[in-house]
Amino acid sequence: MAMARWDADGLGTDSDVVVASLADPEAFGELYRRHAPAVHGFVLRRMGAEQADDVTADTFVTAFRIRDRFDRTRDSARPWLLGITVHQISRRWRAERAHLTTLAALEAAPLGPGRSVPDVSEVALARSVDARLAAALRRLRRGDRDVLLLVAWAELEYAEVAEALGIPVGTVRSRLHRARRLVRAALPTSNQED
Amino acid sequence: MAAQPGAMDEMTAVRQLGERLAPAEVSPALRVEAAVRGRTTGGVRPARGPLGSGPRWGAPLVAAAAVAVVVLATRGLTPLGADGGRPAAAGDVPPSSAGRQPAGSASAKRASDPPMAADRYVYTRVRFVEGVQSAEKGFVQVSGEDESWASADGRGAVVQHNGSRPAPGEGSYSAMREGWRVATQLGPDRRAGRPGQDLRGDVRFGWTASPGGQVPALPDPATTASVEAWLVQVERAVVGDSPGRVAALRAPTWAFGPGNQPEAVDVFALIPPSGREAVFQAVSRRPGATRHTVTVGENGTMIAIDGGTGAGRGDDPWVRMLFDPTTHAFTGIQDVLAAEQDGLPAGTVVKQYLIEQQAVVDRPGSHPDGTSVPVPLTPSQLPTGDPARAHLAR
Repeated sequence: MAMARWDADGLGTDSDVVVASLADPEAFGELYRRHAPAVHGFVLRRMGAEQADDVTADTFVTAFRIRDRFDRTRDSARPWLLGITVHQISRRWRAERAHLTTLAALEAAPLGPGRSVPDVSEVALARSVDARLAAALRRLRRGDRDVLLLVAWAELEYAEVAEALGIPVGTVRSRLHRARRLVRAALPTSNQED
Repeated sequence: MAAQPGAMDEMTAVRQLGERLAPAEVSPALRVEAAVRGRTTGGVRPARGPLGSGPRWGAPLVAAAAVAVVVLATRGLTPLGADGGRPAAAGDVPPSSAGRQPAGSASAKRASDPPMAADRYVYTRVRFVEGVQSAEKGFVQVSGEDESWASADGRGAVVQHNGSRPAPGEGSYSAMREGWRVATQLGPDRRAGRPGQDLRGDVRFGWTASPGGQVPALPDPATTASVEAWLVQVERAVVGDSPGRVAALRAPTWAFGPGNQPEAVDVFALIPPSGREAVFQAVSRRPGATRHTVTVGENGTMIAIDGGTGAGRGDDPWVRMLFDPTTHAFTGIQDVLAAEQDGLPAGTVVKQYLIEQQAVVDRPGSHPDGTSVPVPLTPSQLPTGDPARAHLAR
């Protein structure tokens, strides 16, 4: 069967890359090259270094396997990939909870010998606001936390968050509103602004 | 631009927290891409230079293709209320009559729950076999025991696990308390808090499965209908309020996810005898569930109820719940590949958690045979950030 060899120099949209990868799996490497750093950074923030490699790998393995389901009308695959990432994180919710619990505990129990948090600065994290924020994030509903962090940490637009999570934009707004209200209440300088 | 006009201080604070945790974009190590390439299959690869080093996309690594099918090596299964061929140790929970009904019976006959003192603990030993994906080593198969002690008082309980495996998803706990991990917190009994209540007769799953969600108590009385509703509540508590995900669920244990199966075992292992039949029937009636019999190593025949997953965001394995063919007591969980993956054929059991023994003991750390291991009991013995402290301090 004749198939187009993937030419990494012939860059196109993510949709082009996904379509090309259906005939030539090697093309999928370009999608990895484009988005793995963002996925990996997002996972590092949400789960810490211990889980990041596995979650990033699982995200792209899953994406490869279901790439025929990608909405080819989308130019960017990042929301789709981050949606898969969120799914992978949700399946490891215990690890995320433990990560946030660790961060939230740092104020009261500074890091020392035998206690380590990968890839984070002890100095930076031993701050009250971070501990409060981590505790607040831990208390959020999972769906609310997903929306908040896709906006704040992955810098997705509302419509992209909706695409990633498969929910209406209105739900994105309501979840974000709720998450922000709860996080705001946890800040030492919280006010009544809405 | 994601930020909306009038962005609030809290958004800035959250963003700054993220920036301190890690850069927004971090290139993964080459081993990650190698692992991904190794786990993708299908198609013939053109023989031109790949992007980066390592195997080509779609070409399975030898290591991945060589993953051994899980060997179902278990021993001495003694499910709650069944002798399972294992000599009953002193304090073993007596058998229940709940499972005498035909498997297809829709009406659950309730069994009586033997009384148990509030200051005693349910000891559960689980034998597990897991295939753990490692970015560096590919799939690594590990096997071991996981012991837990669930306290029986009415103020709630902490299930403490004594596991030896490198537990996925337990990194932080492992770092905080090497060799020990608290995998599940059973919350306080919000309705009663009755000292002396029978844990197995009135289990409170006030367990905080996810922030904002509580796994509710098993309904009392536990009927097929009430347990069906309870399963939905469990799923919603664990999965969250995503309608798509909840609708896609086909097995109640799916929600616990990889690395979280011990929690699922905790929840279903502590079903009291009076609730077994209702749970069995309710799980059997899940949409899409299929029921058949399987032979599980030396433990013989069990009833398997398979539930599909596939929330549309992944290609998760099927989850299989195992039940004793006679008592219908929950005996464990298997993860089964729904399709060929990583060189393994569909139907391969990739993870397994079997309850080997349950017994009532006097304190955490005690074994039915009289031996014991040290288990932290008081809040001061737990790390400061451990959520179990709050439960123990009540």
